Amino acid sequence: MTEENLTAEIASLKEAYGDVSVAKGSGGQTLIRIMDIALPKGCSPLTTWVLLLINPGQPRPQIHVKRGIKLPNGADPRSTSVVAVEGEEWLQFSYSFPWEGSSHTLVQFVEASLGRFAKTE
Amino acid sequence: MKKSELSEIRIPLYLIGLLKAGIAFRVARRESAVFCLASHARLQNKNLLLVKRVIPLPDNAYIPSSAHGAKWMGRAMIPILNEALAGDLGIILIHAHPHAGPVSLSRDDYQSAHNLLPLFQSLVPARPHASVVLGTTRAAGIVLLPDQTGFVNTVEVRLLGKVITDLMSREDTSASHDGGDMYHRQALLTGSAGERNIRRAKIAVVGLSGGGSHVVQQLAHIGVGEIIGIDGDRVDGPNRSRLVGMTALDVLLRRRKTHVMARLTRKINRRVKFTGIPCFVPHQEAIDALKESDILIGCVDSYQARADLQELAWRYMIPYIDLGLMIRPLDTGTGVTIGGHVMTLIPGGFCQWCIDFLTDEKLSLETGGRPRSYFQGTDKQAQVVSMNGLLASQAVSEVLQLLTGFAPVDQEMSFKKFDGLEGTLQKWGVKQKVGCPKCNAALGAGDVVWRSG
Repeated sequence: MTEENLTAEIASLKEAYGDVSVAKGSGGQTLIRIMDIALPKGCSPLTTWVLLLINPGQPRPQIHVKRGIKLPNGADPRSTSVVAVEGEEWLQFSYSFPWEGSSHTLVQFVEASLGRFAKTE
Repeated sequence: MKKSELSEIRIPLYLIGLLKAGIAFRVARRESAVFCLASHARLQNKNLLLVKRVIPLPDNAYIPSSAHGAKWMGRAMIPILNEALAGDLGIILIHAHPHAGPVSLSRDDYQSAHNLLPLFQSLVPARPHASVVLGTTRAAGIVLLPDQTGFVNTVEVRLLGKVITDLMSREDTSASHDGGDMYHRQALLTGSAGERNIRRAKIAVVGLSGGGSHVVQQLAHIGVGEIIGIDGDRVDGPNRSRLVGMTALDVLLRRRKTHVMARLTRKINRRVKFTGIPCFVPHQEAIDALKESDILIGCVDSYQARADLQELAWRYMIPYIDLGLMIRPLDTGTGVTIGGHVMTLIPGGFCQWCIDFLTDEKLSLETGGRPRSYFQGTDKQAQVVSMNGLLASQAVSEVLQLLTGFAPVDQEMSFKKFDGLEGTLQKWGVKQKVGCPKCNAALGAGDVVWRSG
């Protein structure tokens, strides 16, 4: 993602979610933190923080949320792990869906990723 | 934030020589100055300034003067300011008053700092900036913190050599206890200054089973100021064969390992504070506790956990002692190999990635490509209390060396290999890998600085 495109994407995230912060990672990656994004209906808590990691040379961002999310059926989400990203704790999860950096936006990426928590597994 | 709040400047191993050469008096006994570029991290009651670059001023940058103090051309600072701006780093101006005992900034030094530090802050507002004078045993200076207009004037400098050297601005009265005559015979080795360092040291122990419980026990005996014990597990039956201080009732009540270690510490030495953190690294409570430590001891089983500790130790410039025991059956089907290690990793020296102790392949093999929670807590490898104890004892001796320098410092890096069949600990030569991407990225990275998007 070019610097120009990234700036535009961050502006879109800010427009969609409001509270967006950006930092430079120690390995040259860009970190984007979004506060209090709504989780799918039935999840607890109602919102989470989201961290997007944009690695140079990797088209698909990595997404993390805060630990402690319960699914609509009250269960803990499976296939997750607590990781440290730049000295801060985040919850990593994997969820497969088609996404192309050249065709889709980061807002779409975030929305699709958080859709994982609507599933009861 | 109170103006009396402490700022600690940490200099990694590989920059100490450059710093000392840079501030040495050179031409006509004139003071020389170096500029350091630093990130920072916020602890409970102090700020860490983590030096990533040392940039001496070239001789031709100085303005000839009959005065003792250094004066330099403003344009000599331009590349330094540009580098600070590009790297989003704070600027620390350091010079020397090379004598023992208390030192202080001169009136000229203050004047210069009052002009320069606000300029530095206007360029890089998110980082602290400082002006510091180093003596041979003390330091002094002023720091301008982010979002502040007043200066903080309690500054310490920590040189992360093979022995930790703290240059303080005031006489050290921070030791949590003096120990009376309890440490009389220990002090014959470590000396009174060494004993003071032990008394005020905060040592984090991550993993409180076979290795970690021995480490906690010995740290309590030597009388460190505080032990921060980190482990999210509760005890179970099999732990009884190797977890020092554990009882049958602990198993019955499924007590936390931190609980058992708190009790063990209390029984040995009530003057040693034990802070239990009943969770795993990298949970935030564990990270926050680790940041506060002076030395970190890793007694963990997995490469993934070691990778986390390595990253955090480098990020906040904390010396890290790792121990490990590996008992494996031979491929032939009969017999075993018993290997292990104790390595002392000093920020700015070799890291576990430099020596290929950690590799992406090993991490991937360990997790099988799955998220970490699938294997966290598995406990299948053989462990034997006597061998855990031997490695833990060496780890605590390494702590003593870092705090007191009781042994002559040699040039070889400290990696000791254990052969459990021969009963030997052998020094193993290891080197920092030039350009190690993990070292370079993590060392002194400090806290993330978030900006509004």
